[in-house]
Amino acid sequence: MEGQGPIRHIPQALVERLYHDARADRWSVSIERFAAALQASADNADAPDIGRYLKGLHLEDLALACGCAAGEEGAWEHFVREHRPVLFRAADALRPGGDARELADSLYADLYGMQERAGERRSLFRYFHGRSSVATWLRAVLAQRVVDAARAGRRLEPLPEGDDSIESTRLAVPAASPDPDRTRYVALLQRALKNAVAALSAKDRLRLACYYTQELTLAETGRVLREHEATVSRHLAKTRRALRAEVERRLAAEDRLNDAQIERCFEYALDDPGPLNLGGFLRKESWSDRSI
Amino acid sequence: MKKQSERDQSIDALLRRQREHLVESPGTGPCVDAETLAAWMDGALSGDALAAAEHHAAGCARCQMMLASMARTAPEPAARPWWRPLTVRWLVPAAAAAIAAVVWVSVAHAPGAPAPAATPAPADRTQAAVPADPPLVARDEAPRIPASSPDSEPKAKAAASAPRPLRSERPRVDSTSDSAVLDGVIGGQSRDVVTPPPPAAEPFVPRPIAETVTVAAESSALVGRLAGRGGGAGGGIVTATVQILSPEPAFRWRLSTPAVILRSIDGGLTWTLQAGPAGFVLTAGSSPARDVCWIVGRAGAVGLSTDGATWQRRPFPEAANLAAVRAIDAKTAVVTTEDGRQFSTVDGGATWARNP
Repeated sequence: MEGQGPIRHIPQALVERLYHDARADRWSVSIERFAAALQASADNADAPDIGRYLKGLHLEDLALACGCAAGEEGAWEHFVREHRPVLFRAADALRPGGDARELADSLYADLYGMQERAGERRSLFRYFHGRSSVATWLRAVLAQRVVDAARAGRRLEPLPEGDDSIESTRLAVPAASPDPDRTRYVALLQRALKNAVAALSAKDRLRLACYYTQELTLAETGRVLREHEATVSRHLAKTRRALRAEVERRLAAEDRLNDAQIERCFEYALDDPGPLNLGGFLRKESWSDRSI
Repeated sequence: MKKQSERDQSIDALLRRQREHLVESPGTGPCVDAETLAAWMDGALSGDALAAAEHHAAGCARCQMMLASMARTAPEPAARPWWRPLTVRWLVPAAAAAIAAVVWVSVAHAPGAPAPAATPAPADRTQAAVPADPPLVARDEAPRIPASSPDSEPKAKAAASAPRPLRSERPRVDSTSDSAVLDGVIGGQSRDVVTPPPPAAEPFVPRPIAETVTVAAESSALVGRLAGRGGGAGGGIVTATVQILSPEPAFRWRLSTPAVILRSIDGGLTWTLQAGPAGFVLTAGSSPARDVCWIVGRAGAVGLSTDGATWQRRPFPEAANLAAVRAIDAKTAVVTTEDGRQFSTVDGGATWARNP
């Protein structure tokens, strides 16, 4: 994502003012280095008003990141003192007693920039552009690493023994049913629901995914969508009603089912154990308790 | 045909069962990088950039997991001391206005009342004029007075003329946070608990611990009586409460002056009186999980409940007045003193370190 936008020159007067506002001299950051960070941030973003964009940055955090990237001792001391607890708290919240702390610790090497290229340290801070606070950015970097580690770990795990068990589970309920259409009804409803969900807006799908797939609370879902939890609840209820109506419409229009048959579709689908969730990394047990 | 609520429940159950299919559509474009993710969570994304990120994440399991991680680890907004603005800016004029209103209502405007100079028993008159168990009153509405009260109209006028805390003066009412909010925020709606002066003739009747009370009818009166027992100034014309929301909205606490702790597990419909640490004058609280709650108060008072029922006092290095607490879990919390200093613990309050 670095350096994607067109290069736009930042007026020197603006650089000097922002340098002063950021108090970058606290960390012995030169104005040239700070100007380069501003330029990188502006290039990364596609803001129409570059002045307004730059003034809206977390300038002090950007200056701190510049200082840390340059290996300034004072900046590092401040960073470790202020942000290490934040990182550890986030790690503990993600994986209580797990390996997230190790991942958090491993971040420091990358943040410090152990590798060098052409005599320049390659610090992870070069990806920080000041659009968020350093604390939020650190949590995002940690989240990215934890998620990738979890997904990689899942890929290495053997599939559950169980194709037989899947079949036996899936066949158990239909076998007990006297309705020969039961399996077909369940499949029709699942297809209709899947298509109805796919037809929702991206925001509605994201809200559903946060709440149902990721099992976030209403409040946590609201943090993602920047909505109050009451608003999330209202939107979810509205979406459920819309989904129900759309599923019924599809079953009636596309599959020619009458009202009684549609009711049976829902009834059978609710009784059906459904396919096993092989996307196990999405399951609740891979995360901390959702209430935390 | 099923009722609408049953239909909603059925689709809810199906969505829970089919949750893995909600992310089957492939996300468009590259995954959201950490810097953009951070900007998103800090509200710095807007317009096309936000729409593109949402569009991608709606179909991308990896990005959804990262967003979920960010949401789970988001720090709570710092709780502001609820009592400070009330006490400093409003309590005195509010109390004066309320006293004036009560006197005006009960003495000058009571039907058939004698001249003020001839009023023999103000305590009895006050008791007659004010219902024993007033209902919760919405802050942003004119206070509702029971229709049976003969003084409804004058009292409403008087109350409406009394200074009211400005909306902007209150801590942000955000039930997504676990921080304390002012004055009984229930279900996202702001409510005040307005309690009358305790009747002089009515002795305090202790209630058994863990008694469940109905909030609308009893708990406000209970709180008022308990506040009166604590010697609230002049019986406490206005009793403010702090409500602490856990991440699960059904589970919440309510603190009231000076040391009343109530808990609800049904979203505020009923409240259970809990036995808190002795000698606390509570100021704020934070609940990072449904059964975990931190409370702080004056003179270095820190309490912790990890089972939602019992409270333990935690040592604090100073006798400073504590104004706010922000808890991450049962082990980790940050406490802010009245003068702005912060102390952290990572071992459930056994030890504290001052934040630089």
